[in-house]
Parts: sequence; C-alpha cells; structure tokens
Amino acid sequence: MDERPGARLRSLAELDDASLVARCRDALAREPELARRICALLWQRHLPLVEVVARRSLRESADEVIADVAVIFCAYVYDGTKPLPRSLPALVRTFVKREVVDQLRRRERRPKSAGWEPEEIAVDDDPLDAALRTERRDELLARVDGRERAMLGGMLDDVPASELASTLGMTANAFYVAWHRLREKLQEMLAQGDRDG
Amino acid sequence: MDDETLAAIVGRFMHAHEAGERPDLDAYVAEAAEAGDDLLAVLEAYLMRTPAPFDHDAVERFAASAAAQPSFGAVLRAARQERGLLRRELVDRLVAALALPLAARARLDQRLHEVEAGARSAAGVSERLVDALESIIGGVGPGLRAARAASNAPPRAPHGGSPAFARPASAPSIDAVLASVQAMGPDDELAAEVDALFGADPT
Repeated sequence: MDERPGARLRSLAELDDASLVARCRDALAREPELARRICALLWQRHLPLVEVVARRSLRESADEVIADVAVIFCAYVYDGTKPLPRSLPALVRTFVKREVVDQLRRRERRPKSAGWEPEEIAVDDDPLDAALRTERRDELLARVDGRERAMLGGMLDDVPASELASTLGMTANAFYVAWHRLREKLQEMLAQGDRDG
Repeated sequence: MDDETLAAIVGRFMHAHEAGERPDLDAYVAEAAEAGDDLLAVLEAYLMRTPAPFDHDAVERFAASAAAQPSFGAVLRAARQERGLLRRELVDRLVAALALPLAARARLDQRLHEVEAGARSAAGVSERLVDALESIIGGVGPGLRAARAASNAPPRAPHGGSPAFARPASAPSIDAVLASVQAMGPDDELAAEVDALFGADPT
C-alpha cells in the first residue's frame, strides 16, 4: 500500500466486483496487503447480504455460518483458477446456502455435502432466476399484466430499481415489496407449470 | 402485516443501509415477525442490487482478520500465474535451485501440489524452500512467509469451512520427521529430504 491507503482504497471502491476480484488476484503475489484489503472491501460490500441470506436460510442468528462463509469467500476471491464473477451477489448467496446445508448436516452428524466448485454455480441456483434465463422468460412475461411486465422486464435488464420505481410511480421500498410479491406469483406459475407438465 | 407496513419497515432499513450504518437485523426481524419470511425476502432482493457503501474502518478490520489471510497455495499460484510459470516448470527450477537429484522431482512435485491445493498445511514449509521459491519468483517471499505464519494460527472457522477449501490443522514436528529419517535407506533419505522442505512426515 502507498502512504495513503485510505485514499487508494476509496478509489478502488469505485470499481465493480469483477474488476476488484481481478485487481485482488493481480496484487496477491507482490502486494499481499493490498490484496487483503481488496478482498476485505468486497466482503464489507456484501456482508449485509450474507447476513440476510444466512438468517433467512437458518431462521436464527447465523454467526457461525457467516464466519465460515468469510473463509470460503476469501478463498474464492484469491483463487486465480476460478472464473471472475458474473454476479458476485449471486455467488455469495450460493456460498451461504451451501454452508447452511453443511451446518445443518453437521448438527445431524451427517457427512458434508460433496465438494463443489464456484464455477458450477457462477450465476445462481435460484429456480426462478434460472427459469428466467431460458425461453420460459417469454412465457412468464406473457402471463403477467402490463405493470408487472414492466417491473419484470426492467429487473431482468438490470435497470436500476430506483428508476423502475420512479417510472411506475412508486417509492423504492414499495417497489421492492411489489417485486417480492411478483416473484411469489411467478414462482407459483412456475410450480403450476411443472405440475401440469 | 399489510404491504404498506412492510414497505415502511423496509424503507427504514434501506435508509440506514445507504447511509452506511449497520442496521440491526434482529430488531427489524422482530418488528416484522408477523410478516414471516417476507421481510428477509424483500431485503435479500434489495441487497442483491445494493452493496453496502464503502466503510474504511470495517474494511481494515476484516483485512486484519485471519479469514482474510491468503493461503500459501493461493500466493504461490498467483505468483506462478503472474510469471506465466507452469507448475512443472517451477518444479524443474526448484530441483535445480535446491540442488536435488532428478530422482527427487516427483516427490517435490507431489508435495508442492499438496501445499498449493491446500491438502497439506504450509505451517512446516522450510525457509530453505521459501528462499528457493523467492530466487525463482522474485518478490514472492514476504507474501509466502506471511501465509506460512498464518497457517500456524489457530483454525479460523469453528468447523473449517467448505471441503473445497479445507486445510489440515498442523504439520508434524521436526523431531518426528528426524526420528523417522533414522531408519531409512538411500531412497527414503531422498524422500525425507524433500519432505523436510515441507515439514512433512515421510510416508
């Protein structure tokens, strides 16, 4: 690090996740202290998501899961043989879910899940998100009303939620609640479609 | 709980999160208990798109923690990749740098792979090996020594994390290595010399 590590970090914090992972891996051999700080920056950026997903999956305080996920997260960030993340939040969410499963297995004294590699789940393992990346997206879009279609299309195209909320005449917080309800509806449609074959 | 009330709670969380505070999740969950999983589902969707603002102190705290310490294998792999060195090339150069006979190459390759993959603790890696690596990949020594030192630290996670990243707890003592060398023939002595570079128990 230079004499102003705070300023350097602040500047790095402007970068997106994938660029930071790449920068961290580049720094690891010669500037391990910088690499550690970049890894920490990424962790700090996504820790609230880790906490929420862990809490949601475990239905109780999840400090132990979070500590284990921190180790897994850093090992991934430092590992230059692993692909850069297309979506680090999606990867983080999957890390947490896998670790929760392993922790529940430990409690039941069952063997851990088979080893897995981040590239296997580099996008997401949510069934709805997976379906929305296939031709079922059009099918689902056709079955919702205009307002919902605008919401879904915008979210799939990564339009900022604040922008979508403004277009739909909603506050951002109301938008996220409405988005949650729409996801519930889509999940039900998906399940119904699966049941009907 | 109706959606309007839920949205109000979510709004307060969002405001605190975007202001760089650390909202007390337990308190929010308790307040929205009536909503079941809805609050956490909404927050998950929100946080998927809204990373926490930069917090210098939090970054420094985590950077100083054991969890953020890169492994010896990660540092070595990064150094190799930076130089475009394949592992077999590194092993060839290590054999020369350590003045080992060619017969030791396979053993050296195996042990190096184990350490790099995290299947063997780096805690016992010798200074002789680190010096040799430094002579081949200039500048990597400090990072390797820091990672080796961290390997001596107590386990970082109560249950060791995912199997993909698990590391063994410790290397055998040098006394154990020396004791096993006592009863060896010439081939065993060569293997023991390589193993001693890694603090490994000859097997």
